[in-house]
Amino acid sequence: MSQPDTAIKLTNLRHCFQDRTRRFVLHMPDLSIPAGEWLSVLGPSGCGKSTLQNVLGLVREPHFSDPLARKTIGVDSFVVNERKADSNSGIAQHDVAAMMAAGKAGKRAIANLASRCMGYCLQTGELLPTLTIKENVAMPLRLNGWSARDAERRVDEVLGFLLSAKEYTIHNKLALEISGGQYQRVAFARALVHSPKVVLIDEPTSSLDPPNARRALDLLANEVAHQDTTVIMVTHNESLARDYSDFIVRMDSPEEPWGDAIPLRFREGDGWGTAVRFERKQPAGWQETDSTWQPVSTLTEEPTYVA
Amino acid sequence: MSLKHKSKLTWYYVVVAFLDSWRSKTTLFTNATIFTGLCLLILLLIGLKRGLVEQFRADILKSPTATEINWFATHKDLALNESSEQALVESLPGDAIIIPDITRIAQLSRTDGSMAQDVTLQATVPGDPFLAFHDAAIESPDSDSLVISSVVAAELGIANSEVANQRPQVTVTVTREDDDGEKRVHANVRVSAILERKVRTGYLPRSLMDQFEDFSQGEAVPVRGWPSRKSAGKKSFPSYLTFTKRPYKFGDTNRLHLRGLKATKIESNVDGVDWRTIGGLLKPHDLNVYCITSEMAGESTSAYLDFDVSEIEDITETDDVALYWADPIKANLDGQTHTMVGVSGNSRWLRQYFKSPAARLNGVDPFRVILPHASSHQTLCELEMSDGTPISLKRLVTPAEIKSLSRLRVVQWVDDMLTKVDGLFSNMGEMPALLSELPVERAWRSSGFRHWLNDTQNSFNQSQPTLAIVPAELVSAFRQQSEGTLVYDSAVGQFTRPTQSNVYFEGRIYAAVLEDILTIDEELERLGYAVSCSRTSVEEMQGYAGTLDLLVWILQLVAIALGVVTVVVVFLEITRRRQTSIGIMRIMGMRPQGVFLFVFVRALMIAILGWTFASLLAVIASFAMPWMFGAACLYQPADFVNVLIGALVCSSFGVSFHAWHAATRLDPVDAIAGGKVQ
Repeated sequence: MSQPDTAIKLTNLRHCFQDRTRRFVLHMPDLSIPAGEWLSVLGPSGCGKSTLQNVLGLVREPHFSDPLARKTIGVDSFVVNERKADSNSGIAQHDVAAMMAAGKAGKRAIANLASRCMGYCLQTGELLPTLTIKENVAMPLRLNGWSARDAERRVDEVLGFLLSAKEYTIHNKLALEISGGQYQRVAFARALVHSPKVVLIDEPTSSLDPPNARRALDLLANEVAHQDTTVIMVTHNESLARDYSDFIVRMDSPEEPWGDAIPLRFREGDGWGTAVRFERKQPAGWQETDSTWQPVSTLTEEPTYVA
Repeated sequence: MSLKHKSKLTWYYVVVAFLDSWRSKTTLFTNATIFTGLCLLILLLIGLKRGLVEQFRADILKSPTATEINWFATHKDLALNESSEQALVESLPGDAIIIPDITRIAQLSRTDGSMAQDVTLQATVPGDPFLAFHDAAIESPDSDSLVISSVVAAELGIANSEVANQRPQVTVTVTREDDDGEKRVHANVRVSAILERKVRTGYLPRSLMDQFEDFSQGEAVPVRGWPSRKSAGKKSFPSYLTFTKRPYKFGDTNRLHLRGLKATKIESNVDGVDWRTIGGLLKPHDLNVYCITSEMAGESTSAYLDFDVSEIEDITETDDVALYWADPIKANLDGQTHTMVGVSGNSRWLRQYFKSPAARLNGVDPFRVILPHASSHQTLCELEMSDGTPISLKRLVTPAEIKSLSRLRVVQWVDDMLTKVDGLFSNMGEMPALLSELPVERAWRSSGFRHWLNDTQNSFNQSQPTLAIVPAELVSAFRQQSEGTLVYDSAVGQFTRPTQSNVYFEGRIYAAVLEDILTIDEELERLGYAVSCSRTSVEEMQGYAGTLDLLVWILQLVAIALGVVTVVVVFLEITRRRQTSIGIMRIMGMRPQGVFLFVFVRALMIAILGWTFASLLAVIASFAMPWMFGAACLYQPADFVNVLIGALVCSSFGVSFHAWHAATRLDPVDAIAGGKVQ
């Protein structure tokens, strides 16, 4: 089991898929993400950043007992710690592996957990184009059972924080009718509106110019600082990662199958906790039998932890 | 998750789906247009088919007798009276109109002396389709309207213009042959229409024709002051007693059975009575007493026998002594309760026992009585019936005369005879009172002969006048009156048959719609009526409609199949285009059923919009097509409802199933990334 100050802990994450030209394997023996910290994941396209994020965000369901299979994600153990709303009532530990083993009811529990504890800000915001800003932001609340009135109050509160007073008029506009910066901030608002324990951000500033990107992330950082929220950000922008993250993980390029993964520290000081290292290797001697990969004997190398 | 939360969530899914669909109007209306085309095609097919069938139906209905079904009662029991007619109408489909065939030859005359002899009058009712076809139907069932043919109108000198302006009065005269000569009655009516027909015929409201029928059958019609022709009902008896030496042997040729009779042997075991005086030279141990009744005795109130007592000899092929027999009853004579026993037999027997012809109870007048114990010597005594009606009975003989009239004293004879037949009556209950409602058989079985006998003997011993001997037909008549099959008519001083409602042996039935003809025809045939109607034409029309139905069904199925394929493709495209939204909502926590509703609501909106447009266009087409192409295009509300249901089923359920199936297998990440729906 994970320690109480850990937001997410998983062991032996492995993902394998195959396309026409190559086989690709992602393997992460151990991963612990401290609660309330900002973790950024850097790496070239296709190295598995989004896959990692999706697994951590419970969007993709890993397999627990099957051997590494083509186009599936496997993991040995997976625990999500949820600090209760009233800080005195402690932490609830959710064993995702056990939930998965419980079948349909477990899947439903995972969906509930994801809906309650996870906030998502997708690559381009991905607001629903046929809903207004308010309706978009209110969606996580309504899906979590909030009444329309309470949801509207909370939406106004969050939008008031992320949008300026001048921008109040956009509340009732459709998502397609606002600017890129507003769009991204509204996406942040939707990710934060239900006070999730973990916010997952995928390339949040890809459609923004640097000043607007920083402004948006400043607002996000201010908001999560008040909520003890863990942020997992996937980005290509190393500069932004340095400035906002507590931890950074750099993942290997798929073109360099044997390249070493080197954890980087960009910030000095007490804010650093445990860092993780990803390894992605295609060891020699792997064999494909039918639809599965055989266990990888060369992947026994222990990951290197940075203290 | 609580039910309340679930329902709130479901409602939220519906709202989001509605907003998503409504705010993407271009897609919505494009898809609705496809649906419009499919629904319109089906509606046009249905409308054109109905138009063609209706045109065919209209051709058939050009004949005034198209919906007419003529029926004939093939035996007496099928004749319709008021109640059976009502039952028949209720058993027939739709609002069928039944018009019994009441035909009467009458004379029509006017005040100016013009006259039409031997006009055949028939009954009609308001809405009579035959007359309505000629715009000549009467307005009210109690009206004084008369519809006459043009031939009769010419004889009476009535022109169409005169009918339209003032409805000229005509007197209808109907004649009845009575015993005392011909009786004629008149009714004044007004001519409401003239039929262009070359036959001497006329139509009167059924109520008036019923009154003419009543009059012709000898009944009085009080509302019109028409007199009755009453006469005494035929004598009939519940049973006969026979006294014979030779016991009946019923073999293959059971003549009693052939006549619908049965004989019940009455065991006798009484010594010391000179039965030879009754049965000729029979000795008591040789005597066999039988009670002969109808085989229906006890089952039907009409099981009375009306043949002469002498026929018993022919039927049994014996030289038997036979008596008419009805159970004794209690009667109130001159304020005193008497036991009334009927004694009537064959003349030979009566001559033997009643020397005085006056004391013989056979004859035309049943209202005669012998009071053996009466102290009064009045020649008339009064019998009070249960309803208070008094009947005068003529006393034939005084008690003093009785001894000299009979070799056996009458009371003793009755005493002996009833003791003899006592074996028949095992249940010794109270004797039925006069006009009681006990059926004959029960009266037979339960009559307290022993009590009566004791009572009679006691009365005799105490010299109390309790016995009244009357003709057997009088006791029988009282019994029939108590059963309701005879009534005492004080006007004519006779027991007469009660007035019966008219019965009809044939008539016309008009089906409300052409298709009902087949059902009515089958129902009447099932009931045993002979029927003639335009069944062939209706079957031809139905065959025509059936062929068109088949054609339309095939075309509809093709349209629906094409429609479903189109709709599935459309919705696949919608799902594909909307999969980013679906993926986002799934990541936010929307359940698969939310995705199902997302597509389902959109499908509903498309189907309803498409159906609405198609219905509007179909209604426009129903007006335009006859004008443009000369083809009728007719609709009924149910057509639109059916097409709506079909559209909803095809578009929503069929397509949404696919959406649900896809939604449950949709990977949110793939969906957002533009991946395919698996």
